[in-house]
Amino acid sequence: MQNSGFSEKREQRGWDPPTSGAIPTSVEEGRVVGGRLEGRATGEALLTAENISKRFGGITALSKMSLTVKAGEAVGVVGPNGAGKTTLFNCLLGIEVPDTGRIVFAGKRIDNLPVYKRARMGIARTFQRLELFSEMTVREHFLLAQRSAKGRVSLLADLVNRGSASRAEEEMANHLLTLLKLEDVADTAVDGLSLGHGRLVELGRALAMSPRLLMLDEPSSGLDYNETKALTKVLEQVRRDQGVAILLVEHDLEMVSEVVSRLYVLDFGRLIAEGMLDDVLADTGVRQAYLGRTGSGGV
Amino acid sequence: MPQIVAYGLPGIPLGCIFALIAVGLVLAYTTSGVFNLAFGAEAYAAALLFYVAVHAGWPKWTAFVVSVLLFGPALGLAMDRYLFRHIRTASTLAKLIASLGLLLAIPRLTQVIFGNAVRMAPPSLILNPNHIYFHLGSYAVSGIEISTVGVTTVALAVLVVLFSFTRLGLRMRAVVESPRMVQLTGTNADRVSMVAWVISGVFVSLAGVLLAPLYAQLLDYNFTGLLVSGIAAAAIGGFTSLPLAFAGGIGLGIVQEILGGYLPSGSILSSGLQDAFPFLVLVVMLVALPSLKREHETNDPLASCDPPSPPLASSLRNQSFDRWSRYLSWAILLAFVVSVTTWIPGNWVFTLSQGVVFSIIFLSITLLTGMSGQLSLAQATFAGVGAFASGHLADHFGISVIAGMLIGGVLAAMVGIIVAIPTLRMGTLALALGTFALALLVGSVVFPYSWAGNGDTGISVPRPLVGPVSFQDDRTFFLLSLVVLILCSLLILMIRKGTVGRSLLALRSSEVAASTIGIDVRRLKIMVFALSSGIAGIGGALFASLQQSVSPADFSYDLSLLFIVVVVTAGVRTVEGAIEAGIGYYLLLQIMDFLPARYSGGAILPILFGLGAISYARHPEGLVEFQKRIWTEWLLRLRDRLGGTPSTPDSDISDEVVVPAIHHPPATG
Repeated sequence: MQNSGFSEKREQRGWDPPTSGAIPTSVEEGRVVGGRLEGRATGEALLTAENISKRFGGITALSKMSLTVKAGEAVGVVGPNGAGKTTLFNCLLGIEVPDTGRIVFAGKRIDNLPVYKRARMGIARTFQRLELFSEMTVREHFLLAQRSAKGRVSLLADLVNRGSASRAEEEMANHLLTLLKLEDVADTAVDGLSLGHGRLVELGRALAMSPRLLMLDEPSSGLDYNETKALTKVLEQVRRDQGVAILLVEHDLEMVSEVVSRLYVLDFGRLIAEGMLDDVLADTGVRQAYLGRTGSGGV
Repeated sequence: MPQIVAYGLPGIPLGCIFALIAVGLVLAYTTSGVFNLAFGAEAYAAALLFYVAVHAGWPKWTAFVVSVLLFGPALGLAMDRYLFRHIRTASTLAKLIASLGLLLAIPRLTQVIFGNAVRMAPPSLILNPNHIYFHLGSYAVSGIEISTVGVTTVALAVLVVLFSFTRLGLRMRAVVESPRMVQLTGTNADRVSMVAWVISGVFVSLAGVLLAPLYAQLLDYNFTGLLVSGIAAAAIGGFTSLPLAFAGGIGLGIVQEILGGYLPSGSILSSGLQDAFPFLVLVVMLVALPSLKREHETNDPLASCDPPSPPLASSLRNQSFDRWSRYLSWAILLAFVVSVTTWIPGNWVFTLSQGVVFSIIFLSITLLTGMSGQLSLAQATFAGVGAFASGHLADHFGISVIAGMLIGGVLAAMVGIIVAIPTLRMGTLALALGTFALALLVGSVVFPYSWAGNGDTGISVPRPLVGPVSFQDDRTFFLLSLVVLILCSLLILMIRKGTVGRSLLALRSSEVAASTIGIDVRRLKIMVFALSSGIAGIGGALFASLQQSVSPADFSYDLSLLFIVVVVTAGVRTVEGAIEAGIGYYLLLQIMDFLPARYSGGAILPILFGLGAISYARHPEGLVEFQKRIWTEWLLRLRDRLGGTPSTPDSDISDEVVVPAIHHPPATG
């Protein structure tokens, strides 16, 4: 394998991915411990999307895109701007309705479900352009997300327990604040936060839902080197401790290589490569489309 | 001549007028992103100016030049320069509220300036309105029709030339997309939008001057109808297409007349529906056409260059002062109640009861607009539903007034649900326009029926009788309404503090993100709408019992507009804002009663509150609330200085840019 620079980093992480270069058709052995890993024992996929297509007027945003994410696995989706990555996310979550295809999550078909139901099943996401809740504090974001993910938003409930958070909810919020190093701004309204903090708040809000699948849309966009490193560490930690599957859309290939084990490459709405990280990055088709002809392997 | 053509021909002049105002609306909207409801008021003001000038002896053409070619553009430019340009990046809600403030303030301003004498037989622009010039079949064409169609044709021709032979149209579209980018290409974005506002001003004033002679009397109600008809025509063009808006206006006029020809005459349905036809069209289009539902969202690549908006002044509250002010509020309330039950004279007690009752209705606005960020311009209509329901229940079924009040609230809530469901996918603008049209529609087609509001006669509603306790006495009724107010306030407060309140905040910021964390957005919206309408209904029922007689005029559309403007000025985000708005407004009205009618509360107060609404964009918490914060901070600084301790630097409120909070010491408490 060429020295792509990425393999060095992988050794630092202390684990060896399967060395087969072929597109995996067989079950990959799971490795992550702890947490809820649906289907891990049998290696079943947590999320399967088949043949997703979406057109907007004359533009084909997605064409017959299929992907799989297994429980506890980290998968990346990369591609040039306009390749359809955010559209894919929106289709998976139900924000857009695809023209064709089917989506199965944890054994259940979810194409027909509205967004909030898919969210309650355990899919959480962050947004390319921050979508925080103005005038709410960081802590309130985490508390609300815990409740809403369980569907516990009701007038009657408010009248009974007067809307205050339970101890377990407070503990989880504190845990997230510590994990994301947001203690200092815990009770500040998010409107005044920097972009870096805002991205962490979005991540925390997603994690507060105790998701099985975390979908991240360009989370490092606008972050500097240190902030990106911190984000990567948090993602790794979360995946290790809670067994959350991750679907990551990113441009920062260094970050991608440190987080994911498998990669899908999109271009003009079509899947042009998929497979293990190094193999995909070394593939000439991918290099031409995305990395540039010389493809030195660096960003 | 076929019958349908005979029916339709008279609709052309009216349609021309709709078309003119539609063009004005679309131009302003596509160039500056503002859907300017105040154009209805501008049309009225121009017509009034024309009327006054002609009656003062000026030749018609001079009056025309002054009112249409000078006043029109001047007002349009002023609205842009002093208001709308500064809130270009504000939310749609803020821009709508600002235009609402102007819509209310401008006609009252003209009343103050020119007096409010009855103005009959407004003059037509050219030619004699009473002289029949020729006949088309059985249709008699008089001076009014000729001048209307003729002038409209000229105006249209000028516009077409302007757009065909200059790059104006293209530049206008670029400016709304990204004014900054346009400037980077060397175009003066401000000048482009100026041209648009000038043209809009001319067209709208022209529409006003042409409309006036079609009615026997110059009334601002007719111009609101014109406005909504213009909105309906603009909707036909998707709010963005000028040619379609123009054609839509003409078509609307023609179809309206055809409808009038075929409807059975003399029934409420025919007289109400014909006039209300454009309102119906607007409502149907907003519900049916997905393209109208979402605002034209601009993706200005340079938007992030705007400084972050200043923090809400209320977020800078000081904890200890809050506690003191809460104790003070309770003390004042107690003193208030004691006073009312003892020494305050009877008519003031009645006024205060009115204030309390309207505070209840205003709480519905606090919930819907303040907490949920949705603008409904039909709250008075929901209040009317509650009022008429309770009246009929007491009258025909002998149901006690208290029970009738609750049932009326439930009924209003149900109507709210019916209204909410088709509006779920609507953005702020569509919802506001839809409820506006609905208020007008219900007011002219439903309320006049005897089973509803019973037209001008109205219905009578007794005071409640609970066992031996009669609320006939104004003082006891005051206590009753106070109890209801307190209960509704507690409800709103509990919602605010609970998960539902947080979900509403989330919903207001980002519907998409709210649904991705598992919030059922549709159910939430319906629930809030139902609750809000229900509370308005209860307030309306209480009002009916207070007055002991109500009619549709008590719940007309302009009251809905006034409600919004008053609450927004006092503070739409808080319960205290609603209460201050209700009691404050009616107290002021009573105090100003001694002034001559021209300057009475009914004229001055909408101007004041209209101006207050205009500042909503900069002070969404309300001007009154903002002032309270200023005084709070001043008092705190005074206290610190007297106590010898230096005041903390970050207790200053100003409109400066907020430094990212991570540089500040962590907030205490």
